[in-house]
Amino acid sequence: MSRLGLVIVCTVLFAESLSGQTKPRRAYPLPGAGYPISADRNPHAGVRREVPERIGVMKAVVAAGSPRSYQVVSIPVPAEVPRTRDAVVEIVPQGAFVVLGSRVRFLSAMEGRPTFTITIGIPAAALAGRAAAAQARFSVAGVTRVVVPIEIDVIAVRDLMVSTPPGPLRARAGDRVIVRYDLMNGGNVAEAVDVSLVAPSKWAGKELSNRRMAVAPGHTLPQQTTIAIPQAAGTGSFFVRLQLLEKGVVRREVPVRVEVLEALTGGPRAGPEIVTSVTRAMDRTGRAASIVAARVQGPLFDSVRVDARFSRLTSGGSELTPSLARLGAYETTPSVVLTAPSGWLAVGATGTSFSDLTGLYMYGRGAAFEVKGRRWGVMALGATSLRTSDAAASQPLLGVRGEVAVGRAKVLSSVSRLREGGTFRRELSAASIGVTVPAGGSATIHGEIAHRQHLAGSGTGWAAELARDDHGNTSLLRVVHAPGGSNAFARATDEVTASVTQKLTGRMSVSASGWQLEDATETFAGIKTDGWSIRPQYTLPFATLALEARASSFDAQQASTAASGASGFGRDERAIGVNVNSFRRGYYFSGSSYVGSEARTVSTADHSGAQPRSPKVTSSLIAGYSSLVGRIEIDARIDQTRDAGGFVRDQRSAGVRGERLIAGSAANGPRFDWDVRRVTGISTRSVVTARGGLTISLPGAVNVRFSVERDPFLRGFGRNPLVFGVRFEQSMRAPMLRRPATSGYVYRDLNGNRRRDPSEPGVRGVVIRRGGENVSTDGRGKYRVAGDLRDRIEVDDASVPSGWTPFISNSGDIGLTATTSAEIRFLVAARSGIAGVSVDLSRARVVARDKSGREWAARMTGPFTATFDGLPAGTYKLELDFSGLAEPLVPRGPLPALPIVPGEHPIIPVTLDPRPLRIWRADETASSPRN
Amino acid sequence: MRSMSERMIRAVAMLMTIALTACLQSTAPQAPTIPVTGSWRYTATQTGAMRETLAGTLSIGRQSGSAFQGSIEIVGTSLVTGETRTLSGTLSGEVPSADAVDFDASLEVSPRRHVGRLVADTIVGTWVGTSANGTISGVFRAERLRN
Repeated sequence: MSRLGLVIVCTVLFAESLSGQTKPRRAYPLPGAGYPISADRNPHAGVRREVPERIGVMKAVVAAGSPRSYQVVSIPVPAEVPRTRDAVVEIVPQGAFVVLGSRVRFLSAMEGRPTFTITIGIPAAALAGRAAAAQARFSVAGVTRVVVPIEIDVIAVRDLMVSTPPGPLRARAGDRVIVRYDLMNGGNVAEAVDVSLVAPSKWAGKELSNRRMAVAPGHTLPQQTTIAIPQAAGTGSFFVRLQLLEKGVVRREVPVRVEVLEALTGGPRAGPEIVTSVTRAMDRTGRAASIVAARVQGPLFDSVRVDARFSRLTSGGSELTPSLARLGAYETTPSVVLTAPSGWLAVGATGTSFSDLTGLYMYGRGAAFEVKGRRWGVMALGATSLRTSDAAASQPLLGVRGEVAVGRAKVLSSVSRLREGGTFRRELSAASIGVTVPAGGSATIHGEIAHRQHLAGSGTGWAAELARDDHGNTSLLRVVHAPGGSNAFARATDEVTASVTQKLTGRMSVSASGWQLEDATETFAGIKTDGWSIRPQYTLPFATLALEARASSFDAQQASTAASGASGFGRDERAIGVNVNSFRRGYYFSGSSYVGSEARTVSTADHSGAQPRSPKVTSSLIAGYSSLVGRIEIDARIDQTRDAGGFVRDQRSAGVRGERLIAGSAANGPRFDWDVRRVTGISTRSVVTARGGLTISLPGAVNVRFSVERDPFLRGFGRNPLVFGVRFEQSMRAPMLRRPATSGYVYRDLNGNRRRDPSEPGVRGVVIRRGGENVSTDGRGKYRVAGDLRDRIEVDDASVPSGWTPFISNSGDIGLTATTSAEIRFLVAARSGIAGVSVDLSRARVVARDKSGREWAARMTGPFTATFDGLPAGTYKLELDFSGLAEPLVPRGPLPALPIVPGEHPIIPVTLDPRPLRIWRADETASSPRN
Repeated sequence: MRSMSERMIRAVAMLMTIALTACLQSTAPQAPTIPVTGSWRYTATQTGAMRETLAGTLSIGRQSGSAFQGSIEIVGTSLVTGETRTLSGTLSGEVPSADAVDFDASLEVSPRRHVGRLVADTIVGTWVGTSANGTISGVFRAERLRN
């Protein structure tokens, strides 16, 4: 075929040479050469063959090479080029191919010239496949005769890359996070791959499965996919792997780090413990009593704790109440108490105290709260008194108490209206005002005056208190006069109390107290009591030894309504004793012994008078060992009194008990309790009580406790003493609604006043850290970060928008102030008579001082330029310090202010004048001042 | 000399022991006036500032003449805090007259003095206790339990 083609070409050329005519150009497909190469086949080359008329196109010369390489191609001189004549060959590059060296060569007739070589550069963007790189055009006598195409087989280069934005993605649990990535085909082959995201377990996304994508060579395909982070995800760093697969094989994999931050609403944390229980006690006769109870106790949200109780006696009477109590079950009035550092709120059964004069120990059903500020506090009670069997109706218990700090003093006032009905009525309507002032050192003086209206009339009450607490040395003196006494919600009608504790040496201290009270109650028309005690104490490394002397007496006169048969009675006691307490390595001991005397008085209808003073001895001891596996304890007590009137007592008791003794090595194994006690002097023979219990822990945080007790006290001696009990208790820990945290807003402080104004927008995505906790702000700029509240919060500067500087206020709000660079350009004025003075300002100190007095230092960025890199908005006062310069300079006139407006770059010129005094270095020539 | 001193010391010690024992021994009991032994249902109210309701059992196991001893076990419910507590201890008292009862209940550091009138099987009276923090007082009622 090639010979036939050659014959045809020669024939045509010969005919043209004879006719000298030019015919329309025509392309001649050469047998075996595969011509023409369509431009569509290789568009990158952009080559469309231009074959002049009467030009023979020869078979292409083919070479191979990779992009960005040079190939040396040997080109044979076609036989159609007469060798007897000189010829010229022109190398014409095609497309982006380049030809090195001269593109025109002369082929001498005298040379054999079978071949010649050229060097072709393959462009970096050359696509894989065969491409026309150049043409060698042979001319003889100025007429192009033959063209030899030069083609390059561009070697396929595969370079598919995937890139993700720098830095981790930040999101919160429950968020949907967008993973953005770019597919870049840096090779010269069209790519088609499957893209897959591999996420942590339980993370979900529509596009987690394979997605088919095609990327042309040199193209970049921006993509994104969304992943849902489950609510239960923990905080920390997670990795999502972006995989490119080809025929199921991972060709490339890129990890994407996702930081899961603390959610604003907080994750589940250990909250209050909920304990529910059913307790039942029964004796051998079949009498039984049951109590169901529930208690919720623990942190609820933030710093708020909850303590809610409910219990109810569902069956039985009060006979078995002590047995139920020993199993931990009591019947109580439902109540809910929420406490926080700033106050508390109680609902249900609640009570409180206002002051000595406006009400102590009120208790009822309703609500009470206290709120404390830094310099103020409010407490209020709104309730009704509990209905007792003899009370016709509940009565109101109302009051409010407020206090406010005035300077170093604290002024307080309270108003109350309190009533309780029934046989033992109490009533008080009072209003008071008081003040507490520091009295120097660690002492305070408190005074209060009140008008009190009570059941028997009204009067003015007053109270005064001097208190001191100096590192454990305390003293207190309190004098109170409260008309109405305890019938009007006071401790007594008149009260004088004094106490002092003073350290004498490092080991020795002494405590002393004395009191005197006078009161009148519903029961007693008058009751007086007084007493004193003094107690020196010596502390050893593992024990405390104390001596004590004490005395107390009371004299109670019955009210006329009392039905006790006695008009009055009293007692006077004195004692001196010793007390020893010791604790060492789990062993403990506490013993005391007192000797003294007592005198009793009683007056009845047919009997009255004081009885002689009788001796009295009381001794007791407790000793035991406590460890993680339980506690074993023994105790004993002796009471001996001889009363001349026949009041004789000689009673002794001793017991041994164990608590929470674990059987075996398992911490949650069965636990045993027991208590055996022998008491003499209370019956004709000694009485023995015994109790035993077994607690078993079951799965599901269920504890079951069985108990049996022999308690002759319960139902008389010797009859039906056995009582059985069982308690089922289940505890669970509820999640905390919200963790303690600091919250606030990150906002743009546009006016630089360091306060968050309504018009200043929040900033999303700013990362706040404290310890190991980190959160990011939401769309409103709000954040809430947990962690140790004693630690300061920090702002991740990388998350702050460029050009803004954060500052953290005490309120928790974080303002972002736009920072702007500013330049101070110095102009050193020439000084007449001194030519050629050059000034070195590199040691100049240029400071901008803001309104709060903070210094912002500039750096010298040029011979005469000082630059402030980032100044928040505001107006600054410039200060110059040239003390470090050799050349004395002074600013000409007062320095201008430096106003900083976001977005502007102020340049402040400052003219400096040399001072008349000039300084030369000693080692330099006199004519050369120091630069 | 040495044996002489030892004998004197022993004699003094013996005399002191006898004297102390004599002080602590019971005097001759008086004739019983009213028998109070047995079990009593005890209810009380602590009046005054710190109010509390008390309920439990008095068990008087020994009576010699006018003097008697026993035990007490009660459950106290604070009307201030709502807390419930169990108190138990011994009691010792006398019947000073035909219808009066006077006894101490050793529930805390200092005994609570109870003085009441006995009518049939019910004792009604008042009580007072002292402590370092002041005085607590109230009324009580005890009803004999029939078994």
